[in-house]
Amino acid sequence: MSDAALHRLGGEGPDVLLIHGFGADRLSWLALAPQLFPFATVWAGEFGGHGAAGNNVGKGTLTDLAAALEAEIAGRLAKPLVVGHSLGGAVGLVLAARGAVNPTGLLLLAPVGIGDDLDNAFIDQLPELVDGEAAFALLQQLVVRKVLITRRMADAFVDTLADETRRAALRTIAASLKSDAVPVLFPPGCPCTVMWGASDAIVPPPNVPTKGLRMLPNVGHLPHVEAVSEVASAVKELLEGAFPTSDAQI
Amino acid sequence: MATEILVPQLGNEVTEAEVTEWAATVGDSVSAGEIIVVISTTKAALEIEAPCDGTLSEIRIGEGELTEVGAVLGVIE
Repeated sequence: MSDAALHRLGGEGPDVLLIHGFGADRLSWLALAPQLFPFATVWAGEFGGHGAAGNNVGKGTLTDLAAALEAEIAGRLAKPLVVGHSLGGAVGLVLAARGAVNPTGLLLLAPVGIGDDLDNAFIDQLPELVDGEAAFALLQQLVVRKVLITRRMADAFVDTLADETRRAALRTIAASLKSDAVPVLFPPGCPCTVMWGASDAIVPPPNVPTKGLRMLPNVGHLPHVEAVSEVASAVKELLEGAFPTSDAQI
Repeated sequence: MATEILVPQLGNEVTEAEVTEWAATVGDSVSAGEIIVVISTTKAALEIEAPCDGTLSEIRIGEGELTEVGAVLGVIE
């Protein structure tokens, strides 16, 4: 079994589970999570090789990552609304397809698997970073507004790779990401919204009609950083649809 | 009337952040909702909007300085 971790970030209301992208962790939700606190109990999952989780990632497949997160969720969260970014979006789809977490809704932010081909160079290079300058250049590809990625962030990321078992975990996930099959069918009856930065250079937006797709102009691969209010509004909309009765606490 | 620009709640684990960039300088007119300052941690950045229309009259925390949740970053009059 792959490692995973689950953290309660704050807030009160229906459960919302945030699932990060490749190389990120629970603290990458810094801008979004506080906007959800007034109407949701916000949780963040972390994959193996990320954040506070251990470095066992199994074969690094979406199924491995989803199963580990599912084990963390079991008995702690009931029917969470899932917000998944990039890799986390694909894992959110797997969780929904397994029926294991029975999500009341899905909000996918630039999810791997349903857009055009992801940038394999980015995926390959991230686990191999050894200096802050190269990390800074690579991470800046994530955003349109470059001020949102700092050299301090890049240096901190490289520091995490000083642990070679962590680096190996990311390599394993990277290799799997390039070859793993991603479910492209949304769970029937599950309210779903897909948000995508129109200028996403890492996972380009799909060219085919996609259910629930909302394009965000002047946004790159991090809608939860560059379009925080829009994402928070989408979460609230999904919650209102999923909890239409008086127990919605919204 | 003076309105303070505050470092917002950042969750139960994050207590401080660095001022990355001011998008306005003292004396500039600003509009409510306009991004006025960017703060960041080692993990993520956050754009803070002007809470009201007015003139940026004071910057209390400069670029590159660390600050805490609830601190006054600047003042709009």
